[in-house]
Amino acid sequence: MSATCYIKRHAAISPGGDAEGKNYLTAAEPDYKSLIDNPGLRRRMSRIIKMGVAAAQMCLKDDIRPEAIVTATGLGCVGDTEKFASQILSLGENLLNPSTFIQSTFNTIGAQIALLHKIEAYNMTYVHRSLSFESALLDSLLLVEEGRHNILVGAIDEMYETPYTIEQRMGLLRNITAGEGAHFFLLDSEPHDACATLLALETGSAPATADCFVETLLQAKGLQAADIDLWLTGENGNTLHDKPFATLDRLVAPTSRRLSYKKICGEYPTAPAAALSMAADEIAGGKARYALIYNHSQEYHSVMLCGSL
Amino acid sequence: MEELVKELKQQLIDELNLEEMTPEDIDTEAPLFGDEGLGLDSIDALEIILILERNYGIKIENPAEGKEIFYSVDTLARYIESHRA
Repeated sequence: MSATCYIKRHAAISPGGDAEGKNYLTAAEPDYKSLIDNPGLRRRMSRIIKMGVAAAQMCLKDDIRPEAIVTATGLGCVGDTEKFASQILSLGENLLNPSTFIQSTFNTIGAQIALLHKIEAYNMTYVHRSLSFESALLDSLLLVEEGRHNILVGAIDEMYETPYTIEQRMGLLRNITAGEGAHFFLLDSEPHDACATLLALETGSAPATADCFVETLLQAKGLQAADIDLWLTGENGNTLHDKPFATLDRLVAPTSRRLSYKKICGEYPTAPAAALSMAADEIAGGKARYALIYNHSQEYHSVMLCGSL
Repeated sequence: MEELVKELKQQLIDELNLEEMTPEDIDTEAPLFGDEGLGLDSIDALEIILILERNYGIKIENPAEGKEIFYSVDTLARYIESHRA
């Protein structure tokens, strides 16, 4: 990534960090009627689709027309998939409803945004487990580098009782609070009206040491660990998972503000999008100059670096 | 017939997710498709075919008849009334 990429806008539909006695965090949802005013489209949208489309709508206010729509999801529309799979079983694979099938596909949110705004531009969805958002972001950065403007990139994942029970039974949520969220960003190569800069993005599969991974990235940008004043860690409460963060804590200056973002949004495949949203907010509010985001899930690692304008 | 019309309207609301409507909001004689009436589309047509097959055991053999049968709740109810087993 060589071109500078600016975050012009960002919007979030996410949990407020309070599980209220639940096993997982659920997003605080807005009044969808005011954001998706076409009842014909709205009636075909399930909860996750409404969350995604509404977050995109917040980013696209003032009639901004994106030159590309890039979405990311780890598990896609799980609720709709469950509904469709249940129908396959109960109806013996016959006479299945087309709407449930359409809603169960991973790229349906990107498609609904395009339909709503009649956008026939580049439209891509990334489903790469816990690197889904980073993959979508990398594609968006390449589009910015190509000179395209107003790239709409977003990440959406949902959590409710069924996936929670399944993940719990599979042992994926030991000491972990699950979560969900819909986050969208409008990226551009022009700084006009921007709130933050996305300086670097790197992904890796089981890098030898997390601190070397981060140090190399900082050096490439002419920065030192001491320059980081906001440190967003993706630890989720599982001791084994959180090991790399102890190493990174020794690298990042003790003077930097440390925020464990999954305590606010919960653990889910595209949670780093929530961290990027938090970093953009903090930078826009003048509370930080450089923010470092580190995520780790299974063997996948990612690091994002944001800065002020 | 009146009971069937009421039942059909409720099924359309449930199956087509017309969540902001009640059976009373649907005009029995008004067109189901196009801008004038309920504003349904081709995916909804597929859903209605499924309602006929699943709930009434009726299969439309001649697709050319579809336009006439699916015109309104009234035409749908008449077709069901004359074809159900």
